[in-house]
Amino acid sequence: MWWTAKSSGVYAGSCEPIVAWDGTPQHLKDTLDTDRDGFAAVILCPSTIKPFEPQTFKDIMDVAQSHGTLVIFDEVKTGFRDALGGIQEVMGVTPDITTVSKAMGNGYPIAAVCGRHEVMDVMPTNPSAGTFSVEAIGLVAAIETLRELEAKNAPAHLRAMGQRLIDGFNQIAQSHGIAVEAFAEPIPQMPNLRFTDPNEKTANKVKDMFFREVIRRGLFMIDWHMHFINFSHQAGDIDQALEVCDYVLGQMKRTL
Amino acid sequence: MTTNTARPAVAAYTFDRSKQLFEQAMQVIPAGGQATRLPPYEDYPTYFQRAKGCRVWDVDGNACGSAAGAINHQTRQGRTQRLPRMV
Ligand SMILES: Cc1ncc(COP(=O)(O)O)c(C=O)c1O
Repeated sequence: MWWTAKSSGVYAGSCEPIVAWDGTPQHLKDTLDTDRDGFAAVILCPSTIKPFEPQTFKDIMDVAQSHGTLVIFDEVKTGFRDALGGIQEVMGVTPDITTVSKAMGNGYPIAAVCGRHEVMDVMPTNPSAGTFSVEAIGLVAAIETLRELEAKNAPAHLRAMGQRLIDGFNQIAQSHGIAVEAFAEPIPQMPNLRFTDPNEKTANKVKDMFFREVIRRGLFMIDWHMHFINFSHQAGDIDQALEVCDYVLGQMKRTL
Repeated sequence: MTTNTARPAVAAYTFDRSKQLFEQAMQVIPAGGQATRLPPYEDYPTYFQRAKGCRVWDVDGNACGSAAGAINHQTRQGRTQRLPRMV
């Protein structure tokens, strides 16, 4: 589902009932107003909501509720990272349904659909099953992982390490005068880079050089996605990563 | 924290074994692995052999620090970043 609209071979009509919105409360209202009874639910990935602040989330919830529409938060990516209760805890809202996965399994296959009773109570009347639906390894992993995340207050550590990476990187990039910037997307636990040269061709060239070279110098980064700070990252690991960035940006400055 | 390599790697890494395995895998698996994403560059650690904490070792024996874990599909690394307890 998450990737469906981007895949070839998917019948365009199957996506038709889904109306895209831009993540702002106003556009949500305008969209829902086009068909007051026609929308079953609003689904959003909290990290894409702009501005990323409690008021926006409250406004979105209000708009949806006043239109009698359920709100689903896809916290697959964001869950457990900034707070154990996800972005919704940080923003002080409670959607009707939430999906979580990634961070709760520590790499093991697990996902969960959670929601308030009135909504979840229909599940037994809509039975579903799958080949691996009674597989337990992911559940065991999730229980252990959640215990660790809570006992060690992982979100605070992830935030601190992410901020260290972002601040350190920006200092280095500035000192070399290379047009690249690290930023929280939108939380420091999910840092990303943007290549800011106003000339798009130059920006792409800088980007290409950077990612090719850091891998050859012992830092595995990806050029098409935000990164994720892991609980195993310690200050020393972040600093080593910054050393590689410093070296590579220094080399680039000489060749650019 | 264990440090196995001087960083940044003084001699630039090479990825010959990754390349070789990738060519073999392409004969039988679309995109050469679990994900349908091709390696973005010719020189790329397409396959990882082991992992500890935030460090991964590729099939050429290169050690890398990684912040790409927790989304496992961008490379064929599987669960690279795991708690020791769960290994
Ligand atoms: C926000 C979000 N939702 C969902 C998914 C994928 O969910 P699933 O693996 O259940 O298809 C991803 C990434 O893989 C994601 O980033």
